[in-house]
This record gives sequence, structure tokens and C-alpha cells, in this order.
Amino acid sequence: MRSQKKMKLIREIILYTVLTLFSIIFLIPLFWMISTSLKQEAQVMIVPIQWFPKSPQWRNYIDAVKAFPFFRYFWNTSFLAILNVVGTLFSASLVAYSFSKLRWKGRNQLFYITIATMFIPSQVLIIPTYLLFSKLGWVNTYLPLVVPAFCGGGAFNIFLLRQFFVSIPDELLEAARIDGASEFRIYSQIMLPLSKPVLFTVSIFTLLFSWNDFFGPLLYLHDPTKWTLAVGLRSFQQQYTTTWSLLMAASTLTALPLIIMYFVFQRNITSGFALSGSGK
Amino acid sequence: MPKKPKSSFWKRKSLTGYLFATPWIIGLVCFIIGPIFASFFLSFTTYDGINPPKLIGFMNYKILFTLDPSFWKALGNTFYYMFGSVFLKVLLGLIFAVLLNNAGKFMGIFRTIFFLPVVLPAIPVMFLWMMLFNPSSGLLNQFLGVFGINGPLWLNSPTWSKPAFILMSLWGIGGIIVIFLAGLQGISTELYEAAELDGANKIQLFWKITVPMLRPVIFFNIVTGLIGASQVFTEAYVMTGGGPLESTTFVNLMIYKLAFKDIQMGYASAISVVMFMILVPLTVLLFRIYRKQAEF
Amino acid sequence: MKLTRIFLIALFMLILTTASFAAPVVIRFWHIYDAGIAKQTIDQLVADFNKSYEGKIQVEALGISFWDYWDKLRISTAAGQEPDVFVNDLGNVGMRASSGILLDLAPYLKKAGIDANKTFFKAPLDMCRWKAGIYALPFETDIRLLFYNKDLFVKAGLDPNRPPKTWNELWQYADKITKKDSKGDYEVLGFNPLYAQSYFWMYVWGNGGDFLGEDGNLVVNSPIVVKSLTEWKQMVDRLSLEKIQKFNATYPLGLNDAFINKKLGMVIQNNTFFSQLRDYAPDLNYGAVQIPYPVKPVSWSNGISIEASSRSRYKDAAAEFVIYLTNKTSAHLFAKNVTALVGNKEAASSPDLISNEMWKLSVQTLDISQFRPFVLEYSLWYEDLEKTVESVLYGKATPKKALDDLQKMLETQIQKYRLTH
Repeated sequence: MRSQKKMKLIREIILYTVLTLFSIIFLIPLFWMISTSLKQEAQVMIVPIQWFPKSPQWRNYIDAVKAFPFFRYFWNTSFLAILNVVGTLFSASLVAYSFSKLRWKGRNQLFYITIATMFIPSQVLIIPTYLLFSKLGWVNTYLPLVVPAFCGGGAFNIFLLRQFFVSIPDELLEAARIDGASEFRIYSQIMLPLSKPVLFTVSIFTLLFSWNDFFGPLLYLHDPTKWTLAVGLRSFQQQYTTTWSLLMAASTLTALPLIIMYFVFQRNITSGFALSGSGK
Repeated sequence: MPKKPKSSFWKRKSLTGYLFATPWIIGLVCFIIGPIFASFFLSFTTYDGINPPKLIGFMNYKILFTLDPSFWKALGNTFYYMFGSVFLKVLLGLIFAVLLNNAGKFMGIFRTIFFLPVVLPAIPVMFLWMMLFNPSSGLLNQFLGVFGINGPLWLNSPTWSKPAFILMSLWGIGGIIVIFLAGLQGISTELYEAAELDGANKIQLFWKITVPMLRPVIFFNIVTGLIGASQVFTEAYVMTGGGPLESTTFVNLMIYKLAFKDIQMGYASAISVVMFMILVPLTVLLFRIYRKQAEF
Repeated sequence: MKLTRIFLIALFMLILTTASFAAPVVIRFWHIYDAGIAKQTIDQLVADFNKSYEGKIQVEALGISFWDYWDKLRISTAAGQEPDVFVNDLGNVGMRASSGILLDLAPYLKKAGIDANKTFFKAPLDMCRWKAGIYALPFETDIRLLFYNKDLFVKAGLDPNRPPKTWNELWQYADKITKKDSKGDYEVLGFNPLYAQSYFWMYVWGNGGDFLGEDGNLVVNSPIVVKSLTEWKQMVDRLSLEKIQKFNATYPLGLNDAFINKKLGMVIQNNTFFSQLRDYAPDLNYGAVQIPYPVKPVSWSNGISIEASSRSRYKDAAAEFVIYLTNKTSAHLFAKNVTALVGNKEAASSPDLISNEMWKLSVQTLDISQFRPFVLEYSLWYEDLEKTVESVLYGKATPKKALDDLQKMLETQIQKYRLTH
């Protein structure tokens, strides 16, 4: 009995050592980013490594923000992210409602097609979509980056919402129907309030995706004043290839809103992520 | 005539259904189904974006299959990355999920740490890794140097550039850990207890209970992971530009360069179609294998 | 009462119509000068133009950084949304001219009474010709020179006023300057053939070779190219490719440039390096000379052209602006402010500029400098040449085999173009 307890203790020690070790490994890059952002440029590439900056250069942050139109890009990125969230929430939930609570011919077939599109390699869509937007004269506007969100917001979000809606009992809706409420009213007054958690998950994903999107802005935004942080940072890096301290300061600032968001909504984000990846 | 009102009711209802689904029907047609057909069409043309597309039959495919070795190289690179990163992510993700599942009340803290890199924006993360991979002053080689290992050139080496990308992708393993962890918590402890009574050790438990119980989740993540990884682009575009020695020229980078740099939209479409014809059957095949296994 | 009202309305209509008639034509101009003195100069040139054409033509200029510019321009062209006037790569004007996207400027030059042959340097102007037309005008060109650090020369016991004239001399000097650390990495390098603007094709030209066969076709596997590549590999192997790459990763160009940081004795750079040295390393004691050569003196030129779109709604205005930007006054201002080697010969040779030794050297070097041959069917052939050179340096193939393969590949690409056009 005692040896078994001992075994268990040893096992736990090993377990926690391993996990702690890897936690540190996972945190080091992030630490390095912040540490570099506070160094003098001359200290960045120095061998042996300086873990902590000798005298923290807070000025780097001011210089970085001045070196490229950070706040404009920040605003553009936020603007696009918000529009994407709004568009996706509205259209994906509407469609999901139709897929789950309304009966119409071809509904199930269309739903299978929708699921199938999740497995389509998207490289086949790039060129025609680009040509479509260019024929519409939408290149160098935000439309190509926003309109798709209002057109269903992607199969994945529809799927996620639909699965949640299905779990809500029909009786709740039938009562309202008998009272003569319109479907839109039932959708907006009954369904949406009941679905807050999943709507939140969809919002977070859309926000993350939009904030990180590089290919879309790269392809569609030509005028530097319209750029987002992702392409703006890339351009900044190209011009100041080696000014690592400033680049890391700008990077930290870009990451900061997401890090804050993560710590505030951590539970929702991880559980939403788990839900989305389970394939159920 | 008792039936009439009902049928009109259903008609109206049906109409509402279509109405509600309209945004997606438009999106599906304009941004997915339409473009797929358009890609097939474009692949039979030559198109420079200036003069109208000109039909040239199977010429693009003929060139692709007989004259252009760089496509096969790019395809090889892409598969290397796809399978390398997905395999390691799933395997290590599973191991870490099991470890975390045993971490008791500290699980939350570890999960928070492992998941953190997932929410970080992609471009800054790439810059960060460019620094870490620097052959002389980068953290990675400095660390290896402590053990007397002369670290490789990483992104500057044709042999190590893809492993470097895979290593970087592992930093984002937190997503898969969280997914598996949720799956593990759905497995009843009774199963383990029963098996333990039968004298099974931890490793046997892992293979005999954990893996089979998680099979649907594992499978789903392999398939979506492979499709996601087949689209690897930004890393190569930002960190290596496709080099050295084309070792990181992935298919999507090639398509981008051909379509938007050389403006050979027809040829680039042919490549995207070939990629489509490889990946879709692969996905279907994976589903078949999975179904067959699930039957047992 | 009624009459006054009618009169007032008529007057109003008149003002409205004249105003709409007088509304200036707006043309869009994209360029790469998005920062510093270059941006200021372009802004000033555009402002001056807008002032002197007030009420007739208004130019809206947009500067995009060099790194992003090319993709943006190409992509918007493919979308049919290119600006009316844009700067572009002087090395492949013919490619765009052949696709029909560029406006032939020859008639406009004639109308303005400009003799292009007298106004512009020959080599850059030749790059703008396609068939009988002139589809671009050379705004900027450049040349490559050898820059050397005099202090490092003195430290190595070399005469700082006797820079190398041949590649043999260059390596003799370089070996004296080179210093290694305990791990065998380079602390200071005498010369690095894979750094900055040192390109293989310049070495081939220096050996007396070129990339065109007798019939004008692209030939990359002639004996002289093979020999050059063999020597090129030997030079790299002496230093070890891995060590060179480590050095290059430690000193990426820009602020951390190895020459600027006094870690490199000699470097091949283009003429804009003068201003970089002025800004980043004002105390660096350096000299600049023409690149050493094995057989014949050479340099490599490329540059920036100004082009107008054939799809522009206001072709006359666009052509007018192109000609304005490349005229003597504009070019002179740009050359003076930015120290860029402008394509306008008259501006570049003006006495106040040519009195500067370094400027004079640059202009003189233009005489021996050449462009990469333009190949319509595969204008990016040199990128494949670079890849082939890279693969030889990695030891993936012998120079002969690699170049033979490249030749086959290029012929395939040319065939591919012909099959699809």
C-alpha cells in the first residue's frame, strides 16, 4: 500500500515537472517578444543572450507607433472585425434558424452541401473570387472583406449555430407561433436570447479570424491608408527589416487586445474552441 | 376544402424558410459553387488579366504534367508540411491532453498557458519566430549551443526550413489539446477503473480506451487539420518567400505567385484544380477508412 | 420680377455648365517613393505640376513602399484598376508593352518636340522601346560599384588608396581583412560574393560572356557561363556556404548592414548606397570604385520607368505628366535631392551634379554598364538562373549539369509561352 502511494507521488512529481517545463517553453517566445520590444536595438542580436533589457526602452513603443500608421491600421482592423462579427452573427444565425426550425423543400440536401463545403480546399476559390470582386469594381475597397460575412458567414458558423438551435425544444417556438408571432419575431425574440453562449463563441472566432486575416487584405487592399494591422505590420517589417526592437514593440501592441480578450473571456474561448473542434 | 389553408400555410412557411436561408444561398453560389466551376473553366484558358481569357484546351494540364517540375516540388513540400504538422500536432496534442487531464486542480492554469499562443495574431508570431530561428543570435540555437550542439540554419537551410515551420506550428498545439481535453472529460472514469481492475497499465489504458473513445474527435481533427495545412501560405510568404532552394514553395504560394505576380491566371487555376482533385478524393478516402474502422 | 428670375436661373445654369466644363481631369499616379526626401521631392513635383495645370489636370499621387508596390500594381492591373500613370520595373517594359496595357509615348514626345535619344541615356531608353514605339520613359537607373572600407584596409596592412582591380587582387586583399572567431564564424569578412548587390550575371559579363546566342535566343549554358559558375562556386566554397549564410543572417541589409557596421571590407552595392552611408554611417571612411573584373569592366543597371496605361480615360493628360516627370527640371531636382541616377542624360550631366566625384563615377560607369537581356517569352528567366546558381552552391548538381537543365527549363518556359499565346 505504501509503495503504491509512493509510486503515485513519484508519478505526480514527474507529471508536474513535465507540465511546468513545457509551460515555461511555451511562454518563453512570448516573453522574448516583450523583452526584445524593450531593448536597445544594439542589445537585440547580442551573444550571449540578455534575458532582461538593461534599461527598459519604453520609448520603443512610441517610436514604433510613430514609424508606421499604427492607430489608423488599428482602427481599420477593428472596423473590419466588427463588421465581420455583426454580419456573421446576423446572417449565420438566420440561416441556421432556417436549417433547424423551418421546414422547406431541399433543406436537408442543402445542409449536407453546406457541411461538404467545409472540406473544400479553398485554393480553388481564390482566383475566380478575386476576378468576381474585380469585375464588380470592389478591389481596393472593404467590400470583399465584409460582404461574405453577410452571406451566411461561412459553413462552419452556420453548422455550429444550427447544432445549438436543434437542441432547443420546438415547443417553445410553437407556443409563439400559435400566438401569431412571425418567424422573424420568433427568431429574434426567442431563439437569439436563448443562444447567447454559442453566439458569443461565433463572435470570438470571427473576431480572431478577421483580426488575423492576411491573405484577404493582401489581395484586396492596395491603398496603404486602408490597410489592416496584419499587412501594415508586414510592410513595416519589410522596410525596417532589422529594427527588431521596434518590430517587436509593434507586434506586442497588435497582440495585446487579443491577449486581454483571452484573459477576460478565457473560459468561453476554450470551451467554444473545444466545441468547434469536436465535430459533433 | 379543409386542406387549402394548410397547404398555403406550408407554402408560406416554406417561403420563409427560403427567405431565411437566402444569404447563405447567395454566398454558396457566389463564393463557393460558382468559383469552383469558374476555376475549372479558367484552367482551360490562358488569361493575363488584361486581354480576355482564351481557350487553349488541355494545354495548361499538359504543361503541368509534362513540363513543369516545380509544381511537383511544391506539392511534395505541401504534403511534407501537411502530414508532418498534423501528425505531430495530433500525437503530441493527445499526449498533452492526457497529461493535463491528470493534473487535477492545476489543469486550468496549464490549459491557459498552452492555449495562449493560439489567440496570438499570426503575423507578429511569425516575426517572433524569425528571430528565434536566427542561426547565430536566435534563442533556439543559443539553447542548443548550451548542449554543445551546433544548431542548423533553420529558415536558411533547404533541409531544415520545413521542420522549422512544423516546429513553429506546434506552438499552436493548444487548440487541439483543448479539444482532446474536452473529449477526455466525456469518457466515464468507470471505464478506466474497470480496466485497471483487470490489471491494465497506463499505456494500455491509453491505447485500449482513450484512443478508441476519442476516435471521432481524432479523425475529425486529422481531416480538418490536413485541409487547413494544405493551405499553408502566409508563413512562407512572410518568413522565407519560398526559399531556400524552393524548399518552402508550397502550392498556395505557387498559385499566388503565378496568379498575382506573373498574372498567369489560367495556369494558376489549373494548379488549383489539380490540388482540388487530389484533396477531395483524399478527404473522401479518409472518411471511408474511418467508417470502415468504426464498424468494427 | 419674372425676368430677373429667369435671368438669375440662366446665370446660375451658365456658371454650372462652365464649372463642369472647367472641372480638371483627375489622373491617378502610383509610385514607390513613400518616405523621406524622395517622398518630399515627388510631392513637390506633383504639386508644381498641379499648380501649372490648375483647372486642367490634377494628379492624385499615391506612394506605396517598395516592397509592397509591385504586387499591388500587378494585382490592380489584373483587376483593370491600374492608375493612369505608374512607375514600374525598367527591366521588363516589353512584357507589358506586348500585352497592350501601355500607352505608346512616341507620338506625345514628337508632339512635345522632344528627341528621346538626346534626352535620355541610351541603355535605359532602349529598355523602353518595343517594336517601333516608346512605351515608358526612364526615370531612374542605377549602377553597381565596389565600396571598400579604408580603415579595414589600413588595419590589414593594405594601401587604402589602392583598391583591387581584378578578382584575384580582390581575394588577396579580402583574405588579409577576414577574421574568424573561436567557433570559426566570420567576425569580419574581406568580401562576400553572396551579399548585397553581388550577382552572378555580373561576374559572367566580367568574364566576357553573355546570355544571348548568335540568333538572339537565351543561352545560359555556354562554356563561358559554365566556367564562370565553376569559379563562382570555388569562391563561395573557400568561405564555406554555411558560414556565409550565417554571416548574412546576422547582418541583414539596412541598419544592420555588415559594411555599415564595419564587418565587411568590400561590398558590391548600387549607387543609392552612397546616401545610405551618408545617413547611417557618416563617420565611415570608405572609397568606391568600379567593380574588379577578370576580362572586361562591367556593371549591371536596372531602374525605374514611368509608364502610362493604355486604358486611361485621359491619355493626353497621362502622357503630359509622364513627360513632365522625366524632363530636365524635374529629373534634376530629383537627382539633386535623392542622389538617384536619373535617366535624363541632360539632368544627370548638369555641372552642379557632375562636380561631385562619386556622381561622376556613377555617370561614367553607366557607359560600361548593361541591362539583363529582356526575353519576352520568359521575362523572369534570371530568377531561375539565381535558383540554379543557388542549387549549384548547395552542391545539388555540377555547374555544367545544372546549367544544361536550366537551359532546357527555359526553353520549356519559352515553349509554354508560345503554346499559350
